[in-house]
Amino acid sequence: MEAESRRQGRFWTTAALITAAPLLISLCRAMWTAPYPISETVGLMELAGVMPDPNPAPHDGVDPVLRNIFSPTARSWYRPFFHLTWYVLWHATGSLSATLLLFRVLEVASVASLILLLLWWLRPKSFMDYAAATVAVAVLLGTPGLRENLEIPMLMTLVAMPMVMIVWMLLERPHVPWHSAVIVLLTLIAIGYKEQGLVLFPVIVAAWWTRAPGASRVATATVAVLVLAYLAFRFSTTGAWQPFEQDVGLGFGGLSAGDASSRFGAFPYWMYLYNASSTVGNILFSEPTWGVFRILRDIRDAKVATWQINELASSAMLTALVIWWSVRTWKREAGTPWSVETRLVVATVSAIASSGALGFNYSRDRMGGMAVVFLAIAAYFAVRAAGERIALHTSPVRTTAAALCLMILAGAWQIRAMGTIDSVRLRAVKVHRNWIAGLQQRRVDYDGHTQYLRILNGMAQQGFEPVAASLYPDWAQTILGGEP
Amino acid sequence: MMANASAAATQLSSAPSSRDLMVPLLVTAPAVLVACLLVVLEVNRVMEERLRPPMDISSFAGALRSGDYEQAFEYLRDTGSDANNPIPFRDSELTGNREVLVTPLLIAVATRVDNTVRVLMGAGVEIDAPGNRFALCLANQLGDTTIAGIIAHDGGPAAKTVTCPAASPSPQAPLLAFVE
Repeated sequence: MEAESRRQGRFWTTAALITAAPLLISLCRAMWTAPYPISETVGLMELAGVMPDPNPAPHDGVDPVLRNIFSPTARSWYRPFFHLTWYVLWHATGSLSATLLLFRVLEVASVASLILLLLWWLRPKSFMDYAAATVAVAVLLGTPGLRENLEIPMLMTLVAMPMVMIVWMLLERPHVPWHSAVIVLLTLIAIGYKEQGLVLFPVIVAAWWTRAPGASRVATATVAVLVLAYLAFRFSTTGAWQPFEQDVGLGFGGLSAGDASSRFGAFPYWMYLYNASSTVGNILFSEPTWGVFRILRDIRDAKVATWQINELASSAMLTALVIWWSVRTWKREAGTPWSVETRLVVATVSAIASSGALGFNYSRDRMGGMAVVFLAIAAYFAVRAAGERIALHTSPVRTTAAALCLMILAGAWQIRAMGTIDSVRLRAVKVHRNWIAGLQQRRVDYDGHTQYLRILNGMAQQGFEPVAASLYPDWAQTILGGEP
Repeated sequence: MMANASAAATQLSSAPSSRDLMVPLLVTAPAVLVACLLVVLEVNRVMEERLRPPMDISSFAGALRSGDYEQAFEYLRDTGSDANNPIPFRDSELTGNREVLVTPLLIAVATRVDNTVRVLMGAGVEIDAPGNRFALCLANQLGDTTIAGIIAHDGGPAAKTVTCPAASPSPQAPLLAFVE
């Protein structure tokens, strides 16, 4: 019986992997051939000391580049491990092309491992499990939270997404001391890459509170101490922060950082609440985007595109389904020990709420990156529960109607997953055009900036390489919504 | 025993009926469809890339004429051609249907596609090379301040030394006035 169950598990897991493979391979291929953009990349590499002056000025022992990378006051954001990755790759290889290659490997491996880890943890054991797993993969790939994090080379959150998956897997496993060490280490690394790594803290606390087998008191306390120390460190070095560090969206429009500071600077907290709510809204409803209610505005102006309707409707349907499953699970298991599902409800709420809180200063789709991992897992359980419930209906008409609704939901998310891959391709085309048509202007504009020009000219070849354009005709692109 | 998602599954005790199968079948259908579609599209793309014939000089001239700057760039990249070399070019509007040897930059200026000019400037065009010397003059004569600005900016100091001939482009064949 157990052997049969294992065999079934292997079969359906393999089937899920095979079904997800074309999406995953297509995405990885698109990311692999996408050129690094001029803006952002050259500046980031310059900051990380790539291709420095061959005759640097003497210093007191600590490389000034490293000092700058770890300085909490140099920038309003603090992502030392991201800059350190460039620094280490450059110093380890001494070659610009090798640095770019290894960085790309890290980027592609992050997204590939995220999907594989998700399927590994879900390990479907039945046809319905398998069906729900295909939806979970599509949800993960189709959310704005992942899509915006696929922008090369901005891997700060993308690299942390498989980490949150690993941490969740370890929290759900029986406690082993080295698991705790891994949980603490991954939390530190994720935070070091970007502030969004802090989402792991409430997730770990929630897991400990709900008695997850792998959430030891020591690991939770260690993470809590480290996070509090990190927050104290950051808040003690905030120095010259403006009330708003980036442009913010508001309603159907937006405000520059300066305008927002002058308008709301005296009491920015309502605006902070709006920004946080916007990030939560984007995770759950794909609206607003960057704080702007673009889909509603386009509906009002009768300019709405098919993909916008699909995003809003599929997100709303999924959120409703996840809420139904959460309430049902909560009620069903009231008074019983915490289960995988009830813990997941708490972790999902914690991750979404903390992602929103971290977006208090300005809302961006990418800030939902950590939370969408939990949304995808929750989608798996919700679809599976709905499928099992539908199968129990006595009326064939109701069964068929409900099953068709689930199919429409699954189809809508598959379209979104395709749109995500297309967005990577379309962005790559834009970046390629920028390289071939904008290079000379940059060269002239940055005349005299020797390090910048060394990096720029060294990267030009990868910007010139052919890129994989969209696979779809224009009419299909209006449904997929891949335009970045 | 390792906890995983399936450990929380509600076990259905009965053998699967057609209704049990219908729901997962319908939910899976879009995923399978998308997987198959992607395989077909990706394979098709790879085949297209392999079977695409290499560009020749006439398609390069055609790309310059139509303002397809990506294709023009592709030609320069794939053939390693010097962007300063004149190419044979004939067009009813720009040369009065006469075939002339003209540099890509002059064609780009005459067609007034700023991105083509940018591509050529980035591809190593020397603004003081014989066939290119009057590109800025042509842009000014055509009143295209954007393109004139690009040449003046991207051309560097050489762009400031250009002396224009006393030629005024004919509306029938504007390019001919500046072909050397």
